[in-house]
This record gives sequence, C-alpha cells and structure tokens, in this order.
Amino acid sequence: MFKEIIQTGKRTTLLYDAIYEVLGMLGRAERMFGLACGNLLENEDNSAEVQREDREINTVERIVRRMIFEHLTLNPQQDLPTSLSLLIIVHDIERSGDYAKSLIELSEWANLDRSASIHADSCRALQRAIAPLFSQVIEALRDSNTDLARGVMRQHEAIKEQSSALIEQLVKDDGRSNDTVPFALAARFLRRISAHLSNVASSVVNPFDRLSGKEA
Amino acid sequence: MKRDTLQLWLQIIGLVLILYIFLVSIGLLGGSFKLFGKDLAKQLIEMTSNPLVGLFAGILATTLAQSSSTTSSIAVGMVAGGALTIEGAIPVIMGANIGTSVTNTLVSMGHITRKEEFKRALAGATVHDFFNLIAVLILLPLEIATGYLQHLSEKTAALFQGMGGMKFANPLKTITEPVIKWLIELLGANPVACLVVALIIMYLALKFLVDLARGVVVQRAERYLHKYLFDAAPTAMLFGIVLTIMVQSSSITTSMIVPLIGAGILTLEQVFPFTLGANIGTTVTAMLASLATGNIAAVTVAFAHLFFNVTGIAIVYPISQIRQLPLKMARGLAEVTSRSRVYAFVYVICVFYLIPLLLILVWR
Repeated sequence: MFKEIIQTGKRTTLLYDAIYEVLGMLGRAERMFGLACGNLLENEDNSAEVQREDREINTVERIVRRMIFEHLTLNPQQDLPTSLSLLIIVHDIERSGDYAKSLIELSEWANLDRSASIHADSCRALQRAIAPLFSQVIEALRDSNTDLARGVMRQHEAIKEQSSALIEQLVKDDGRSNDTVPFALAARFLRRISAHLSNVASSVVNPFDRLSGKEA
Repeated sequence: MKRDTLQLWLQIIGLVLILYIFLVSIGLLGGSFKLFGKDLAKQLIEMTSNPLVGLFAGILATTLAQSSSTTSSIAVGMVAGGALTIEGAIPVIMGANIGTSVTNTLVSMGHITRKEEFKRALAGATVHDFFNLIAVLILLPLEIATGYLQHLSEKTAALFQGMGGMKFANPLKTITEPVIKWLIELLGANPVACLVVALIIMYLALKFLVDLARGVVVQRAERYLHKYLFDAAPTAMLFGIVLTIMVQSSSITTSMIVPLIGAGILTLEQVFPFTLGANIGTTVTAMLASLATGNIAAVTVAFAHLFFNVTGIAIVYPISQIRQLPLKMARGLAEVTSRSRVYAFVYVICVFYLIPLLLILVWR
C-alpha cells in the first residue's frame, strides 16, 4: 500500500510525507521501548529521555493527522484507504509509546529485584522477542512486504502466549513477593506493545475494515 | 515516457488549448458588441452610468455565474467592444470581487450539521466577504469622488503601451483574430448569435480551464499549502496569489481551505492573508483577456481590477484596528448563526441575491 505511493509519482503529496513521518515515529517508539526496558529491567535512568520521546511522538501524531486531513480535503478521491489506515497506524504507535511510558512509571513505583529474579528474566525474554519487531514493521510498511508483516503478526501470537504464561505463573505463585504485581503488569504492558506493533503490521495484509485484527 | 509525465503533458496541452478558446471568446464578445452598433452601446453605458447599478450588477452576475473571472472578462470584452466605459466597468469589477466570495460561504454550509465546526467554517469563509465589502465601502466612494483607480490604471496602461506591452501582447491578438473573424462569418454576423455563442464558449472555457488547472495544480500544491499557510502572513499572501494565478479562480482557492478552518486546523488569522492573496491572483484572468483584445481601454480595466485589490489590502491590512474589522465581523456573524443557522441562509440570500436584485430594479 505504501510502496506504491513511495515509488510512484506521488512524491509531491502530503501522503508521501505522512508515510515518512510514520516510519520515523516507529523508530522513536523503538527507541522509547529500549529505554523503558532499560529502566525497568537494568536499573538505568532513562525517564527524562522517554518523556521527551513521548512528547515528540504525540506531536508527530498530530502532524500526521493534519497532513492526512489536508490531503483528503484537497484530493478527496485519492488514496482514501491508505489515508485512513495511516490515521489508525499513528494511533497504534502512539499507544505503544504510552505503554513504554507505563513501564517507566512501574519501575519508579516498585523497588524491583532485577538481578536474581526469574520473573525479570522472563520479562527480558519478552523484551528480546519484541525488540526486533519494530524494524520488521518499518520494513514491512515501507516495502509493502506482506511476508514480513505476516511474520510480525505470527511472532505477536507467540509473545501473547509467552506473556499470558508469565502472568498465570505470577498469579498462581504461592510465594508471592512485592515484585509479583509489577512484573505481572510489566508482562501485560509488553504484550500490549507487541499487540500494537502487530496491528500496524496488519495494515500491510488486511483490508481496511479488518485492520488491527488477525489476517483476513 | 512515464504515464504520469505523459498525463501531465496532456493536461498542460489541454490548458493551453482551453486558454486559447477562452481568448477567442473574449474577442468574439467584443466583436458582437461592435456588431450591435452604437445604440445598444449607448443604452448600456447609460445604464451603468450609475456606479451603484454597476456594482450590484457585478455582484449579481458573479453570484449567478459563481465566477468573478467570467464577470470581469465580460466587462473587459464589453469595454473592448465599446459597450462599456472604463468608468462604468470599475464598479462592475468591484461587484465581481464581492460576488465571488459567495462560493466559499456556500461551501461552509456543508458543515451546517456540526455547530462548532460550522461556526469556524462560516467565519473562515465570510472573512473574505467582509474584507471585500469593507474595501468597496471605502474605495467606491473614493473612486466616485476622485477617480483615482481610473487615473492610476490609465497611466499604468499608457506606460505599459509605451514600454511596448501591447506589441508584446500582439501575438495573442494575431493568433485569435482569424478564428474570431471565421466565427463571426459563420454566425452570419448576427450580433445576438455572436453574443450568445461568445458567452457560452467563455463560460465553458473558464469552467474547463479552472477544472483542468485544479487537477494539475492542487495535487502538486498540497505540500506547499501545508508549509506556507502555517507560515508568516506575507508568505501565506504570496502563496494565495501564486496558487490563484495557477488555478485561475479565487473561488476554488478560498473554498478549498474552508474544511481546514472548520476542522480547526487553520485559524482565521492564518487564512486571512491567503484570501487577500487570492483576490490579487484572480485579476490575472481579466489581464489575459484584455491583452488578447489588443484594446488599451480593456487593459486599463484589467489594471483597475488589480489596483482595486492592491489598494484594498494596502488600506485594510497594515493597520491592526482596521485589519481586525473583517475578522470581528466574520466571528460576529458566525456567533449569530450558531444560535440559529437560518441566519446563514438569510445572510447569503440577502447580501448576494436579494439586495443587489432589488437595488438594480430600483435604480436602473
């Protein structure tokens, strides 16, 4: 969907600019994710940087909405599905940024035992599974690569199961510690980030009415 | 050659062809008034000797044709054909300026079901109306009292002629004249037939010219619109001039930003200089038409159109208190219509149709 606009003679349209803003937004979300996980799982202090990136993402979301509105006002008959998809995609990216911010808040509220915790390791495993999805989604969108997009959606299904298993384990754990709730929440937030990335990837393979869902 | 490039070239060739047909229609219009003879010319000149009749005729003609270019081109053609004096044409041109702003006001009605959106859209559309009304309220009495527009335009047209401007424009006349003569012969030199055919061709040519120009320009202009409308006022004004020259219609350029104002993406302050630029840009059509006639009086009228808009901006825009007037009036009307949206229809019908029609009937 985006490949045609990037490669064909539509470089003068705002839609072309909006696509690049969205790809840049995904890059920022990836950076936010890395910083937030560093805060939560490696005891780093990235809070200020994450807040800054979040503000940037919110600004870009507004810019993209404005661009799409202007494009549709001037050329209402052109690229309607792509324009509407972009509006949904920017919202998904913005939400993934919000969950990264929630991970930061979590690390500020809870005094987590990061070193010897089996739960921290499980969250690290989730982080490792989610991190490559960002670049895959960027590539899938830019090149309209359906195989890569389907791969992201499949990986999300695996991450979802992994996250559910961890939450179930935490809930059933008899020897609950102070870390149980924060790690359960962290697993949930990580799963939501993965879900939003899967939603973005779905725009490459699904028709407009099935966006943010499983493959049609 | 890529498909898009080929399509662009075809559109440009189409534009040149339609522009040629438009210029032929102006020549035919002038020719038809010459065929009518001196009696009709005398009657028409007498009728427009009352500047208020000319003004309201300009408003009414433009609101009915939804195009100020049509009215100003007809005025230019009539001046070239000796059926209208420069003095009589100036109020008609002023009326055309007011009448052209009805289109974006009608476009703002598309937002009528959403109260806040409609309030913003109507204010954004009517700021153009109120600026044009204020400009006429100031400049028409000034013109009647001093004839400054006529003098300035005559001097500029003479200067233009002195610099060889008319010789420069001669090829336009040379390439249109054989077709005009052929059409007059084809129509049996019947003045009524020539006039009707000229008006039909002119209306259709302008319609296709604007549609085609819109297709060529607007898609390519959206990035510039995004950039320059959010920029400083002079840049937005310059953008309004350039875009309107390219699209050949201020109705199109001012109407296309109404949804953006309705959505709250653009503010009234941001669009105001853009609409003023559109006022200047739209004068180019009459200028082209006048050059094709090769008649110095017609060129004078086209200059008068340009100078009227330039002086209007020079008086209203630089002083903050005066500049705020059209903005306040537009916001005031939007506030009133937000209480009852019927007032919006009352405003359009009275200002653009009913009052001009009644006053023409009373004063003619």
